[in-house]
Amino acid sequence: MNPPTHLHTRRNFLRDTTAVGLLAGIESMIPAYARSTRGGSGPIDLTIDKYDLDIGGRRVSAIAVNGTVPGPLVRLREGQEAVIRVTNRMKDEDASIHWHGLLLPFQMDGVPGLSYPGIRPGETFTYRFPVRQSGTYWYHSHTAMQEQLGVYGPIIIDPADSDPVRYDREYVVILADWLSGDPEAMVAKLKKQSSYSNYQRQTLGDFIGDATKDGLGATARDRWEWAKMRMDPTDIADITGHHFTYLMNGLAPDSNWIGIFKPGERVRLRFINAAAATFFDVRIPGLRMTVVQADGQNVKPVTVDEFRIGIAETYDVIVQPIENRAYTLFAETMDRSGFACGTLAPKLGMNAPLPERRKRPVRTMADMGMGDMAGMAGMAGMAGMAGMAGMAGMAGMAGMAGMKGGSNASMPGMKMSGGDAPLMHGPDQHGPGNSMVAMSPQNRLGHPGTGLEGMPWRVLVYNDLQSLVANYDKRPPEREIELHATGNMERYIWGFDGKKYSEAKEPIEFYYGERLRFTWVNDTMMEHPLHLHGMFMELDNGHGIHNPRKHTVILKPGEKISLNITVDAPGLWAFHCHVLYHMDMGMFRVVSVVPRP
Amino acid sequence: MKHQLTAAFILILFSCLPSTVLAQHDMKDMPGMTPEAKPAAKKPAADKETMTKEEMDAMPGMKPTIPAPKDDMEGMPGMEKPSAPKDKAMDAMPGMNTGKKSTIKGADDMEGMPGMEPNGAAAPPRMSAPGITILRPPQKWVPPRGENRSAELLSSSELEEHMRPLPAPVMDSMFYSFSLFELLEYRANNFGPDAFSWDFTGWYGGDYNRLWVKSEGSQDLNSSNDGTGDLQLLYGRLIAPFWDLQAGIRTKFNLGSSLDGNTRTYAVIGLQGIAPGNFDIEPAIYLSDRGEVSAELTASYDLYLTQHLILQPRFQGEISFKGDDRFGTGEGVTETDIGLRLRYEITREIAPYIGVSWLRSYGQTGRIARQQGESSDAVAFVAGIRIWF
Repeated sequence: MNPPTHLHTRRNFLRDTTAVGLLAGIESMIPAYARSTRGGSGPIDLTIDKYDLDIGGRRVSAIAVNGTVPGPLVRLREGQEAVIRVTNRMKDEDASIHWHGLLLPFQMDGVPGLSYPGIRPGETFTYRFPVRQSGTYWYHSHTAMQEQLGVYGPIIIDPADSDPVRYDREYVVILADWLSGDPEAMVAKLKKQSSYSNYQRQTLGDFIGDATKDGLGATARDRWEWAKMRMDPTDIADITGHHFTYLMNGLAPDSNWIGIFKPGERVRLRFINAAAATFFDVRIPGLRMTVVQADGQNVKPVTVDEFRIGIAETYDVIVQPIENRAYTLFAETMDRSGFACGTLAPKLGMNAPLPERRKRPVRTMADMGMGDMAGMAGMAGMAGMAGMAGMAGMAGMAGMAGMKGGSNASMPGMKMSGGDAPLMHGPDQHGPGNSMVAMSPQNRLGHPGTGLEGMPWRVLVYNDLQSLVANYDKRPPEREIELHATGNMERYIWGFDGKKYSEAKEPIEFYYGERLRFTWVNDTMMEHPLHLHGMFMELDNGHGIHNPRKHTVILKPGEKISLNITVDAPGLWAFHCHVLYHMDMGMFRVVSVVPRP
Repeated sequence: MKHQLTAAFILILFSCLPSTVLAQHDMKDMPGMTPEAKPAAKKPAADKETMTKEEMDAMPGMKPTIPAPKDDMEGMPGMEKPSAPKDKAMDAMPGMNTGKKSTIKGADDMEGMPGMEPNGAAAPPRMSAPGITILRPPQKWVPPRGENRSAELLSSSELEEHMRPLPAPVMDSMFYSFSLFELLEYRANNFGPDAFSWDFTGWYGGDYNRLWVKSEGSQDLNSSNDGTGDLQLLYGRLIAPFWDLQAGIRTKFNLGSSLDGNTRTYAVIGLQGIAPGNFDIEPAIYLSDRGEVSAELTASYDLYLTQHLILQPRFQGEISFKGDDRFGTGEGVTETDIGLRLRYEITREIAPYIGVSWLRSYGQTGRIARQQGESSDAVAFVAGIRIWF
């Protein structure tokens, strides 16, 4: 009945910089059913230009879509043909929009270099594609650092049939990080000093504190383990709250985005992590959240108290606040150096307290790919591990002889899933572009991730996700392609199998119609949200035909996971880490879907 | 005493040639480890055009991976016996090159690995390596209604054509430049004139290849204005994750009146990197235009007292294999400089500091220094600024 296409543009607000940040918030406060649907199914117009905006109380130079950060909501309906005209009004640089998670012809995917050349200054590119799915997605620039500078926004696609998720009200909650300063300059800093933004390093004070707690010997050994590998266990995020302001719907914490509800209503929150380099841990103290969708795909409802949202992932949750009070939406960064926040309240002006901030976590030996040996109290046995950092191969393995007695059971948060026995990293150390290997990588899909171990409440893990409807393709995979995420932290080099994109431009060939097993190993100590364009990946988390379909999956440090793909989208597709800075430094590959030879 | 010092110094210098660097080369040089000999580890799709399925099946590394017994790890000698001595355990582990063993042995081990055998007669160890594995023959795919997109299919060459004129999707090979004054300081000497000294390192280039410029020196702040300094121009290549191999030229010059006009040119080969323990290490060997050979080692460590306050012990030592009167150096260990500096990083880039530096010259060098009215054993209080951009 309703015209399927819907877009909010507020051109008259464009120059009102103080209102710009609020826009997304106010827009999202309008319940979906109450929104204007005028405009019909005609083309959607998006315009990219540079604007001066107020973000976090500072006047900054942004690149914005239709004048706002985030850009306007693009609302589509499954089954329609989308026609979206994107105009680049900038005078001196190309632009692009990529529709993240959408299944479309590759020429419409919006990746300069693969889909098309990009959109030149002054030009308009018309995207035209059939809408073959529903759910929460987002769009962003795929050109240089424009995503970090504000070119991102939400997409909602309403299902053609009735929505299996019942809700009375919905809000988009789009999380992001705003960098103070020029992102290119930040890259240059990281190339010179990769710990540039880390102001949470272990200090002498920490050493004394830990020594008092755990004993001098144990603390000294722990520090030496890391120092020998030349790795920093506090290296959780490349760019921290020291340089980032974290935004919820374009608003810094002080500006407090507010969503209104009536007590008793089922409120659907569509979380999108549009950050360039930040993982968020989301919770609403006092409210349990029922996850109903991940990456736009419906999942069997699972009720949790907190979830980690990787860069570029989306999660839809249902909350049902009964009490007539305000609740804080709290999105703490994984490294705990900052947070984005907002409020759910029955009326404007109400506030809830901010929860207590948590301490910056430290990496464990499991993050270093030490597998079962991780987390054990007596790490002395690993004295030989230093060899690993230096690529001396398995020099340290002997030291692990003494670790045999280690038992998973004694390790909280180390519950393994999938029953994968530990395996060994192959002999290839991936060259100078890679500074460590996960010697015993393993499936950690049951692990909540760094900093979320041992929470006194339920934290979502990937093993909780099950596709609501069974995946249709029941064929077992016929080929397996294994890639290792690699990096040299010291030089801030990122890639796969030790090579940057520029050193490995040859496309990875997928065969049209094949059932493929895509296997990833993380040889770095950072999380990498890996994103495949054009096709969903069924994350093999042990649920068989109910394995969840995802477009972006966090690959944890020390992890090896597999995803099954039905290769059904011809053309050229990007496969990359969605940490913008990792992608731009070379953690990027081209996948080409071609006829079977 | 002199010889002991010399020996110790040489030991330090060469122990810094990190086992890590050597080990990695071992790995690379091992027969059987090169991509040519190990198709399974090649970039996926690299050979696709020339490879039929049968060929792939016939290739050793492309065999379907047979799930290994769960107790693979336990099957490895050395993993079972907690008390096994390290070396023994290492030796017993098939295919696990320590990096310190000869490359030949390592290669033998690799070839001896069951998983690497063409026929896979023995149970392969569960190894995780990049590559393509054929799991089973192709299966028919029945796309659901409306999901058949074969009309959109393009061949590899058509896609190549499509991509050729397009810009690169990511720019991951930019050049950057770096300039660091590690030392830029005033030295208040307890003996002899106060001095101003510097230590500069800069580079320009990409991730693997860089042009380095280095300079260090000291200038007395008295009437004579004596001083020495050097300037190095080096090409550096990343040869291991933490190590840059550098080679180039160095010119050493005298400043001030009394030693005016003396310069010397050297060929330089050195390493710069981070040793296990997070020590910044910079050993170098110099060969002068007169055939004199000397070596230098700089090592430092950053101890974070707080997030902004950093204590840096620093060692610098020089050893000469043939003296040089014009620069007032004898043979053996000629000079050491042990410093301790406390800096406050106002920003990461700008950090004023204070500290002490104990400069000592030895043997003939010390005598020459004393003859020239300088101290062979001086402690200086230093104040300066560490700055990079």
